[in-house]
Amino acid sequence: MVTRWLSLSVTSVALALMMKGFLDVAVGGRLTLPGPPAMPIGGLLHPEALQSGEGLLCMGIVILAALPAFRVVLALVTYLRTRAWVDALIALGVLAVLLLGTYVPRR
Amino acid sequence: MFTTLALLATGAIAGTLGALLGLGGGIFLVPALTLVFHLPIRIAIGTSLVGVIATSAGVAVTATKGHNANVSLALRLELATTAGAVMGSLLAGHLSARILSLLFAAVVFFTAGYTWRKTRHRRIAQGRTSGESLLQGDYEAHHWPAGLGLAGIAGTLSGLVGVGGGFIKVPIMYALMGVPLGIATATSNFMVGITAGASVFVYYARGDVYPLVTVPTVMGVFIGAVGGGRLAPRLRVAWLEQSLILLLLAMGVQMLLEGVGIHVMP
Repeated sequence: MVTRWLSLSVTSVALALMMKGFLDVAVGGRLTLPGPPAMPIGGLLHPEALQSGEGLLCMGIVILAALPAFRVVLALVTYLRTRAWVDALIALGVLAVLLLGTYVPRR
Repeated sequence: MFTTLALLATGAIAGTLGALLGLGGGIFLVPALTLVFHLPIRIAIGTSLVGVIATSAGVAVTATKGHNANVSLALRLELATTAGAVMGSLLAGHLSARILSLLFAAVVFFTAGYTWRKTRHRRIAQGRTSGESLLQGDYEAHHWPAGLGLAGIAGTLSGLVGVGGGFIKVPIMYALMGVPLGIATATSNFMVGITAGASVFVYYARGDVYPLVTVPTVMGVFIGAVGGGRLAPRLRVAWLEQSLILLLLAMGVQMLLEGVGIHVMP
């Protein structure tokens, strides 16, 4: 039930950001496919990035892409609360690999 | 605007089929984006990986009680699968589009074979087992070293060609590790999102995710996955699986031809 709630909440936020961003880009007349590649994740941390439609689109994608990591964090918290140390360690290992995937230099 | 709506529709079809057939949807998205929309295969793979996460989220949102995944088993296998996925996605950056197309064609043919076997197996199983035995709780997973090794290969393929890899994970758990089929399928559905999550940031950071392509496609995938998840209990999917096999064979041939440099799509 918690997994379902988490999936629904995260996906709703991501889709809302994507829809707002998409409308901004369409209204601004910048809807030419395939368009520019996604902004670097570091760039999304600046508040002005979220003022643009493109920034909102990227933020929506990043939040949706992070959903599997949120689900692993949820499993980790559950294992820690039930003192299932081995399972918690494995969940931590999976999280570490997921984080490793974000440290790739841009082409 | 027409192309955007076409991407939304393509995503919706992929999401619906993915949810109905227990696949991530990437197996349809990558060929559609490369053959119909003429996008470079790496952009198609980047988009597909976000789509696989959306399918997994859509299925989680509509999941019915009693079909819970074995999260502990999933995470143990994911240690190997996510590592493989990161390696595969890094490797994809160094392979030519032709090799990726050929690799994808091989994966498509393998999926067609797997779906055919699954359809046959279900027919036999319907005759001798009840639904409960598919989800029995008193089992113990075995053959861990082989299971982890094959899970790593499934992850590498997922990172290379942008599919969830459920067509390899379910047989690993069911046929090799002795996990009941229902639990293996639910566990695989949980796993495909995590595997795609490991690769997607590599593609994102490399500049292979294009928001104006990804967003309409992913919105369609999510709508399709939620709709497919709700339709699944009311539909007999056997005929759908048979149509899927034909569709996969056609797509496999197209990707194979692309891989050898023959462009047949207008």
